[in-house]
Amino acid sequence: MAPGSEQAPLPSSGAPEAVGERTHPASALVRVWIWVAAGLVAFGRDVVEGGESRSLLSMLWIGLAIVGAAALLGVAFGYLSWRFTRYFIDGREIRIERGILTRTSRRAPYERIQSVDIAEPFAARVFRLCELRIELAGGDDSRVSLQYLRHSEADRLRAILLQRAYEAGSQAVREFAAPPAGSGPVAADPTEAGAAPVPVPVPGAWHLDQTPPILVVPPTRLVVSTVASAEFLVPAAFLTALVVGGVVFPGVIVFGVVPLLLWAGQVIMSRVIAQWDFTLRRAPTGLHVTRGLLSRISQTVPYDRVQAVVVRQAALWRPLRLERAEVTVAGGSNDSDDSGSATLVPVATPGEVRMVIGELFADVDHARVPRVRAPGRSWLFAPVGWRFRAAGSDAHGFVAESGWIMHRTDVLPHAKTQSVAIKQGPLQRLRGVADIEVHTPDGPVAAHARSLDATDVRGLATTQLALARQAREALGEG
Amino acid sequence: MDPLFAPPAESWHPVSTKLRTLHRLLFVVWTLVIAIVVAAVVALVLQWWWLVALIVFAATVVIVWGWLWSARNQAAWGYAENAEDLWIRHGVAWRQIVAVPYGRVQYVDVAAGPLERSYGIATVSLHTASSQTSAVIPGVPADEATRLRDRLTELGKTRGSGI
Repeated sequence: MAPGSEQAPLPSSGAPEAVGERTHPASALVRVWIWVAAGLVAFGRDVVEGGESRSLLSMLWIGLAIVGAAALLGVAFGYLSWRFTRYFIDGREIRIERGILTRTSRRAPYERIQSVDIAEPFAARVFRLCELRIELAGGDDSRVSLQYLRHSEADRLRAILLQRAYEAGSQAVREFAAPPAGSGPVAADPTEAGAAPVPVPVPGAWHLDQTPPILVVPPTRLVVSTVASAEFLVPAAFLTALVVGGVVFPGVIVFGVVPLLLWAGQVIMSRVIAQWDFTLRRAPTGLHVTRGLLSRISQTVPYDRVQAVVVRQAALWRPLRLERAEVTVAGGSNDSDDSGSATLVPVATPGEVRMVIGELFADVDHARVPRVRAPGRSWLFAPVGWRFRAAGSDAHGFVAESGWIMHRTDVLPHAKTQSVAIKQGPLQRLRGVADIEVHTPDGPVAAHARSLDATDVRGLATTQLALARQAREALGEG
Repeated sequence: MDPLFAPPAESWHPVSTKLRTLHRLLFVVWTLVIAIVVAAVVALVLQWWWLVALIVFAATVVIVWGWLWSARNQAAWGYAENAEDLWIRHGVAWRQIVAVPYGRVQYVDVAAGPLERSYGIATVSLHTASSQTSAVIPGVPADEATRLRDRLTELGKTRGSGI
């Protein structure tokens, strides 16, 4: 327990000057709630299994004792793990050492740093602390996090790390020197001289929260759009039906209400609470997202890894003139930590969505791309939907549209084309139509256009291959 | 030929007719094995001779159909090496073309099972960063498969660009 007993089996010769720094002492308390919850569960089981013989008072005492002991254990454990956690920042890397019995050491070499984000899980927010997350290039285990720090401290560390990553030649961070964002169609903020691209960024430039946001989603719009979405209306309708039915046949209600409430609650959680105060800013490596009511999440959509975007518009959103957008990010395997991390824009007007897409892919404006529409004879394959099917390309990007109730527009810059496919079934052959698919890495985007005119499909495919080649060559030279 | 599935260059490079032979062999052997087992069970247990006759008839139909299908299917496979991309077409009723730019090929697999090996053919599959790309060419003669793999790997290296 004494600090001297810490028998570091690590190469101590490597860090003579680095004693290491500690995280904030209150970190010890952040995770105590888990222990308290475990204590409550244990107590609950005790009551259920054999509580009837005891009096209410004794039960209360037992409960207090269990929960109190759990909390004490939690504090003790939290203190110990805080005590044994240190981080070292030296010339080459940031290293985090933790563990009471088995020591682990995670290192993040500066040149491998992709992004540095500040996250605020709910429990940490209570203590006014936050977590520093460092994304590394390559490997499965590519996230290092420092739990927990004061905001000012996290901001300072973030600036230092990004600066060092830049100096160490991290490709991702280096791109800030000439962000593709600068050429986007937004003319609103060249006035922000401080945030303008500079050849060698000064540490202060990394202070994200001072750069003006390019998109803010007002909470009212979030609520209205969620209420008008099928994901919410379906459980809500079932719930109403059940309540009405319950008046007639009492007793049925309970079995149906709980899962439906959970369902509706989950939708509200992921669509409203998780996206609350959604703010998009330009950052060195990509578009920086901050969102969330309970847990503030901050993440980066990296410019160089974004492959394609899908713009979705549900039928009910059409009169409201609202859309949402999702992105496919290459190598986004560790995106599973929270729902909706593929969300680029939870809800916005078509103009705003176009602006954000322009930020990601310079010059790509999906609204202006000329499209080939599905011919009338293809009604057989989609009696209503054929009117919404289209595909097309211009000098910068490829666009595929489909969907009647849930309309989707898949957009990708030509350089991201992986392969192109043409498909035709026997019935489609009789009607002289065919499908075209432009393949992108795995994600929400699927740039497929069904049952277009066969001649158009062949033309689109050939053009797409040629444009993709030109785009790749331009990229290779540039 | 349907202009939609016309070759990008002068003609499609066909796959080996041994693919046809292999498919026919598999059709005959499997149909016979299943038909004989089922027919034997029916004959010994139920002794419904009309059902046995029906099974024999069905097996004959399947074999004849499979015989014809194998030829059509083999003829439908084709690939073409363009200046910049590899095109693969296949399918008789459900037709499909996949075109993969050389610069997008991440790796190339050549696989040959024991039966394929005895016929001297292999299956070449191309992988890109997208799992939607299903670029597979079966029935490529073994030496041609190696040549194709080496060429695609080489081209992938020289024209390759990041994702």
